[in-house]
Amino acid sequence: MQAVMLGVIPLLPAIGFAILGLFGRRMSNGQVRLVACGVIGLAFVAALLSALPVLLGRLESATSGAVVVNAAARSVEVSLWEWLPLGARHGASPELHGERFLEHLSIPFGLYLDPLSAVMILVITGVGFLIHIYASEYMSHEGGYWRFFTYMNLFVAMMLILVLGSSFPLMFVGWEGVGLCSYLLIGFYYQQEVPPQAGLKAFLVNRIGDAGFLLGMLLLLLTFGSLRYAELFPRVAGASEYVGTGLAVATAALLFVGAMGKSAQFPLHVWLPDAMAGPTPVSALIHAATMVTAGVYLVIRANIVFQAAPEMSAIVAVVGLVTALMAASIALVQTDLKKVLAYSTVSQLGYMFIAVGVGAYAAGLFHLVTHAFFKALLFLGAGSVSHAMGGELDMRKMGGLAKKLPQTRWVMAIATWAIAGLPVLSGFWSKDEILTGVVTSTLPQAMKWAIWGGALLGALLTAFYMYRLYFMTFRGEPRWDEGVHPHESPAMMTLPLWILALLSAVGGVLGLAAWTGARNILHHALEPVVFPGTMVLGREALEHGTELGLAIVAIVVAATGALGAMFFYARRSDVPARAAAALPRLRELLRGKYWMDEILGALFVRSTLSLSALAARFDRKVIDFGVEMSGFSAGLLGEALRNLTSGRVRTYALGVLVGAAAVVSWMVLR
Amino acid sequence: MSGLALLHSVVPASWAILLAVTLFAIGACGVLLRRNAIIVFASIEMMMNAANVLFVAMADSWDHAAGRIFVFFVIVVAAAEAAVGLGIVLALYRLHGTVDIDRASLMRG
Amino acid sequence: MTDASTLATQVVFAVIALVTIASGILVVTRRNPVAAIACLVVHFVATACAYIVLSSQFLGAAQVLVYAGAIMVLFLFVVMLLAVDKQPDPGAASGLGRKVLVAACALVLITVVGRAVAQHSAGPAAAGTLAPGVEDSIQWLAADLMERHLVAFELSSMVLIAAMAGVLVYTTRRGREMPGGTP
Repeated sequence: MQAVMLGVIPLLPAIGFAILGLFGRRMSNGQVRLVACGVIGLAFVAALLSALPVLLGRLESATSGAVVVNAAARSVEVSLWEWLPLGARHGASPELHGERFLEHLSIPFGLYLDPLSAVMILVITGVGFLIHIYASEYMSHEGGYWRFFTYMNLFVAMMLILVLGSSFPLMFVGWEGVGLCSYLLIGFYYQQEVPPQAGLKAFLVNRIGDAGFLLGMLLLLLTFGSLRYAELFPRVAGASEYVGTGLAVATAALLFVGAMGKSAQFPLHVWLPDAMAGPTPVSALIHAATMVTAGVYLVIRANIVFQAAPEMSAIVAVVGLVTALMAASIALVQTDLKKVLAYSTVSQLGYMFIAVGVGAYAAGLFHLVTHAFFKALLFLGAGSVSHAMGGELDMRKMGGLAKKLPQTRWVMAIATWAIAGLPVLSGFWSKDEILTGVVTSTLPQAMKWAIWGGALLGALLTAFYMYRLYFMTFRGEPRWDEGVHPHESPAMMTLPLWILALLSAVGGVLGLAAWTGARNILHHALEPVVFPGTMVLGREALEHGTELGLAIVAIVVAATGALGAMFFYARRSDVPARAAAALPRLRELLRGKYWMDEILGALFVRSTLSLSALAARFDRKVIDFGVEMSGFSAGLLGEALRNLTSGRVRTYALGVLVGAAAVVSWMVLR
Repeated sequence: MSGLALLHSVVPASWAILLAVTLFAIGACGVLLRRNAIIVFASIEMMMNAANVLFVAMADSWDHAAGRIFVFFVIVVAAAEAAVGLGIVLALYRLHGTVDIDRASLMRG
Repeated sequence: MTDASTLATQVVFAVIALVTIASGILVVTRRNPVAAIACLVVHFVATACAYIVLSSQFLGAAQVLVYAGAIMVLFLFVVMLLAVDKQPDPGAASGLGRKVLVAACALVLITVVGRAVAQHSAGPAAAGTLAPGVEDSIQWLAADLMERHLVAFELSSMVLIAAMAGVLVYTTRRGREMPGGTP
């Protein structure tokens, strides 16, 4: 029963993909909408039914055939079929560092449901369902309606495989699959010039990450002889001599490179802002709520590997911090609505990596969930605005939309409040938990307080640029062009917005802080996933009072940011212009996105292109030349041999003479 | 003629053989280097003649009659062959108006 | 035999050999076909002399009769008939490479055989030879021919007839003029 329910979850969107892929061209918009949203909705129901027992801890250990239920780990593992039988013998336990483990290697196509993947599938199917509903209305005027939902369903199926896979290779299948769908969906408007290039950029940058991921997987395989979570992680946990070795650091680093690619961390973040060329629902689903969180999922899933390399974990946190600050600063000067949100996503992902880097895995997951709620809401709201403004996304041409788009305005207000981390909405609780996690980590004091300070600065920037977005769009004087008639979106679009707004508001209950006295649901749920106490990333204690005090500091910082934005942007003023004029070089730096694209282009793109030009020349001049020469020499040989059958008597006679001389000489001289 | 017949001359066989081979080589050069069909044919006759010289020399050296008989028949066949060959030369001349054997090819290249 | 007569015989043979070779070279190199044929006549006559010195007198006579007498006449006849010397000279020289190659092969032949000959001289005296001391070689030749090789002898006459017939067949065309205006 559990197996069936579990298998159904990724199967339903896959079926949707198949139906739409095969027949979608001939289906009407209504039918496409029904199939696409229907399968996701049903998958959500199945996810709910499967996830609740796991999250609530109501499992009994049992093993029946392909299904293994582990009550202690709160996991259900279903091995559907033998996918990669690479070994001759199964079942025997290989030796660690032994040479013969590959004889026993067999990777099944299996699904693994534990609290971590349970949370993920609920987010994916739940938020995905809402976004599908929204998109079914938003995209209804676009061509290629069926194609869009074919890709969307495929994406959801692949994402579910990613999080439900019971082994790293299977996760990688989903990893690549979502990368493919991201490419397809970013480049959805393929007739235009920019989207296909943006899709390609995303795919290529992801590829770099994928290389790291594969190498990391290989190291894990060679060291521990297995890639199935249920087998691998206990082995890592038990290998005390592995902790802190160069091998452990290398493995963790390589896995993190994969996470960096997928989750747009510095320096592999450059693809995410360009990905905004895709339709807005795509940005909401893929580049806010789900695909980009795959990197965070990877780190949480493989937390034992990172715990075994504490230095690398610290580096993860630092990279997250750098990314968070860098992206937040760039967002300050963006004028395109979606670009602000894109950089905001990069920044918030940085926060998640800060969390998992310091070992606060539950905090990272919590922020992932709340971010999914309010970021999806923000994107969909942006879509609503753009839909109202006839496709316009430049905030300088907006303003004063509050009266024209009341529903959109209120949900965006809720989302902005949440992302700024102001109490008492969900964003406050998740961001606060991250900050607390930094403070209670066992990193050296100087380092952790520096990270804490940096994160706080990031929160200030976040509040500022998000409120800047809000005020520029909804408040102030109208600045839009002639011929634009803003109007509120239809119900199909606003209903998902309200649901997401509700979730953004009350989602905080999943992870209430300790000082409230309430139980932290996520923290408790995630316990069996994280291997506490066995490794080095422990927790220090923190008094409730101190925790509350730090929380208040964070609130003050966020409020400062918000008020600052209000001061700058809520009324018509020239303050922004004057500030920009006062700091021209800073402005250039931010406008130019720290020249990241240019640096990467010069470093990698140009060198690759010149290398390929060189290779092309070599191919033409040497290889083609050689091939032509062989043809030419065949011709030459033919020309020469042609004389043998020229029909001229004297030539034949000459041949006879030469042959006779040779034979006679040989006979005589032998 | 009994008094005059010498059954075995004192000429060393090697000289005669060398003579035969030299004549053969000269004839071969003629066959290959001349384009006039008649001269080519004449060179062929020279080559056959060279073979005859060889036979005679060997018959002389070994006191064997077979060589001489062979030469007899070679002369007969050479006569027949000369007749036929010159007939061919005539036909060639009729066809092409020239006795250049390089022109006697139907192939084009 | 005395040494003097041996030496004399050998000198005579050497002179005849030189004449043969010289006339042979002349045949191959003359531009004018008539001149070449004339040299060929000399060549054959010299060869006949060589036969005589090599104690094949009958063959020497036959050579003069048949080769120099009949075959050469035939050649001359054809040369005159075709008025080849009055035609544009088709004997343009062959390419240098060709000449070199041919010369090389010829030299190879001569040297190789010469060396081989230098190493072996004596040959077997097979059965059926003329016993030394028998003087009448022509008689013996005739006897051999008519007795042991009679079939071949008759067949050779058939060869001659076939040759004649063949030549007649393809060289006579009814009513067709030969270029050059001769019938």
